[in-house]
Amino acid sequence: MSKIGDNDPKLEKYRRMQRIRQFEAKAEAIHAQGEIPGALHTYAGMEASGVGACMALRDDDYMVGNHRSHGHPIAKGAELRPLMAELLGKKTGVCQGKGGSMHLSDFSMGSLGETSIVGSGGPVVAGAALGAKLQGSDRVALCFFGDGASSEGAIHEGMNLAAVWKLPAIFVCENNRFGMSTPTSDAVAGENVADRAHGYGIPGVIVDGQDVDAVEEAVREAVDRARAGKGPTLIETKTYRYGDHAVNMGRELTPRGPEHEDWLKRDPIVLYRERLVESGIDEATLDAIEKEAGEAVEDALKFARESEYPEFAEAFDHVYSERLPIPEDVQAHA
Amino acid sequence: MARATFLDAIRQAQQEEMERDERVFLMGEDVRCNVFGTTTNFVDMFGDERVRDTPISENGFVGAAGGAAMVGMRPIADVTISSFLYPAMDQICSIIAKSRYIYGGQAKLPLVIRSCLFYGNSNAAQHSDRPYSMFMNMPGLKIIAPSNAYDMKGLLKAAIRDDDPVLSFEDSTCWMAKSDIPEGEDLVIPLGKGDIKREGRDVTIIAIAGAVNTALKAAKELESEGISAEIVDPRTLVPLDKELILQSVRKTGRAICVDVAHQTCSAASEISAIIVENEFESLKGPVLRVTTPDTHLPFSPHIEKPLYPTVERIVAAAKKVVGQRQPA
Amino acid sequence: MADHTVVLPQFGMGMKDGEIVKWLKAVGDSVTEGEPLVEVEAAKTEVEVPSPVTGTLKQIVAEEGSTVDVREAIAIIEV
Repeated sequence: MSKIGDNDPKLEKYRRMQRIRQFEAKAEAIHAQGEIPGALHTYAGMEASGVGACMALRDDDYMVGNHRSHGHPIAKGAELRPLMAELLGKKTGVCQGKGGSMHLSDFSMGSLGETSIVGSGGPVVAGAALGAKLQGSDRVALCFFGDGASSEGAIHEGMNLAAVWKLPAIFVCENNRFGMSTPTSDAVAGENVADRAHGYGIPGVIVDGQDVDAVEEAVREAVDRARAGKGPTLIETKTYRYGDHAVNMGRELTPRGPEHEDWLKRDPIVLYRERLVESGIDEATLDAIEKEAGEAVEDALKFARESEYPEFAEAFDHVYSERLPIPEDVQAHA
Repeated sequence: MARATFLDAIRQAQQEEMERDERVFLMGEDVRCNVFGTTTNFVDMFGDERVRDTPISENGFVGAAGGAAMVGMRPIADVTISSFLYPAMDQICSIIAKSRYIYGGQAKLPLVIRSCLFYGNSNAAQHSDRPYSMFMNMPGLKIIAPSNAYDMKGLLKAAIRDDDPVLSFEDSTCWMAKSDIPEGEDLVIPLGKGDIKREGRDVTIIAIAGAVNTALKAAKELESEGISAEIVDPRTLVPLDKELILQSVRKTGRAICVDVAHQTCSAASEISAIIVENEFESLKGPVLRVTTPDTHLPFSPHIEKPLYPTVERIVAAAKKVVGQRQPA
Repeated sequence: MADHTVVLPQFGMGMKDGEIVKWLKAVGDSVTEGEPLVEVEAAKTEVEVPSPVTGTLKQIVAEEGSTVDVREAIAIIEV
């Protein structure tokens, strides 16, 4: 399907940010009505971080994300239909209904997981980068993790491994200011997560996470370095989560400070649009991309709604179990 | 007496023990903001030194609870969701469970590690674990798994006062259930003392945590079909009130173990083995387990819900085991 | 005319069920999308559930004081 401004990376960035924002707005609305089970952690406000980083990757590069999982696959270019179907727990979902909102991981786009155990992606990325190196490929692996995850041992262990073995890895700390209800300043020692890079002897870069071009440039440099066999880079995108830890929780858990309004004014999508217009792209083209993103979301929702739920037997697929076939007493009452 | 929910019982237990003993303090992720209602007004009452938000670093703060316990504090580490115990396994299994032993009794680790069993709610495999039986396999840890607010309060207070590390598994399916809880009374239920939740003659149903409530519903249904079920709630898994279980099985001659954990090496498996080893002569039929089968928990509610022990499955098991000796 | 079944949404990860505290609309009332429909108490929160659609409240399925599992029907709105 051809899209407006196909093959123009500038417009593609705008498209992907729009798709994330509108996908999540729709998801939040139908979650409030009970259509989506489980919890929904939105990425709104952080779109430039994910899209900037993914634009610097090739389609076949690896990526691991976290429970705030909607933005990463869309940033890497995934189709919306299987993502929306997953949110609804349908068989046609990207994880066949097994994973849900915290695990929107599209392996066809190079993803190796969106994991809901905070920090658990660090060693996976080190391992994927090691595998790529051992296979003689020039693929790189990128780890998205939050400021909260930076406190987990697994993140440190992954970064240290990647540094000591000079692996083609990029660690992107998306510092959105809060780990659930806890401000970063209460949980992370030192001013910047990126400062830790010095301890590993690797470059540490701080970038404006609301500026999609700046993020892309920083990650592109890290990717070039990784492909050239010079080892990993730690990048900290300073960004902001617009929604609460998860949406529709009944009460706000995030302690907003006076800077909240400033962050809202620096909406990454608005900022980027202004830059595009200044560079001579006409508003009508951008409006058309926005509209197209909305249509893609509606199409994904229609597809998801029309899709079937998994059969009960599928609960036993994709895991080795000594107890196959399904226990008689469970099957009888399913 | 006042009605209180399971969550409020946790709050009461923590508050009373923190008031009673200044060595008791609480730490965990997002405890100050009182996500589930177990720390209401705690910062105001006890200050932020004793009510500590931690970084997301389970191995760090659970291990630190162990260290603080070694020097005479009585920490409560709130790990929120029991799946988050896994990053802390190293400190729990290598340090907390073993230090008293390795150092020949020189170390004492009076701490409580709280976490909830967060299953049945489309939170997918990485958030839905019921891992108590893994820790039953690790000597040195005591384990409570209450099924109602009254037991929750009494057992948690006992756990906080205990000189060994205690894991408290709090079943989220019980959270909103209310019990009568005596006011102004120091409610302490000794660890290792089970409870008969319903008396019966034909079959003993030993159920763990939230499964007790499912078993009680099944017992009502069985009653209407002429089968009298006795419901035994061990309440603590380590130490386990073996005598109470065996006594009941001696009376009924039949046993079913209901456990929301995965079947292999579950608490139900251990209890079944104890029954068979000790009461073989009394048994009129096989000991059955009604558990969650050995697969992960999927997100999609339509295929998640039927995996857990249900009233129907317990009723069917009871009919099977009772019917074997008393064909209709 | 069609019937829209209103289900109990989930607020937060821990919510398994909720207690219907108070219906803010009566059968026969017209409601607009987003308008508060019913007060629900769940683990540690009391929340007003907005109407998912615009229409007329045809039937209250979950009475005040009852406890309902998430994603179970609580009302029917004719749209």
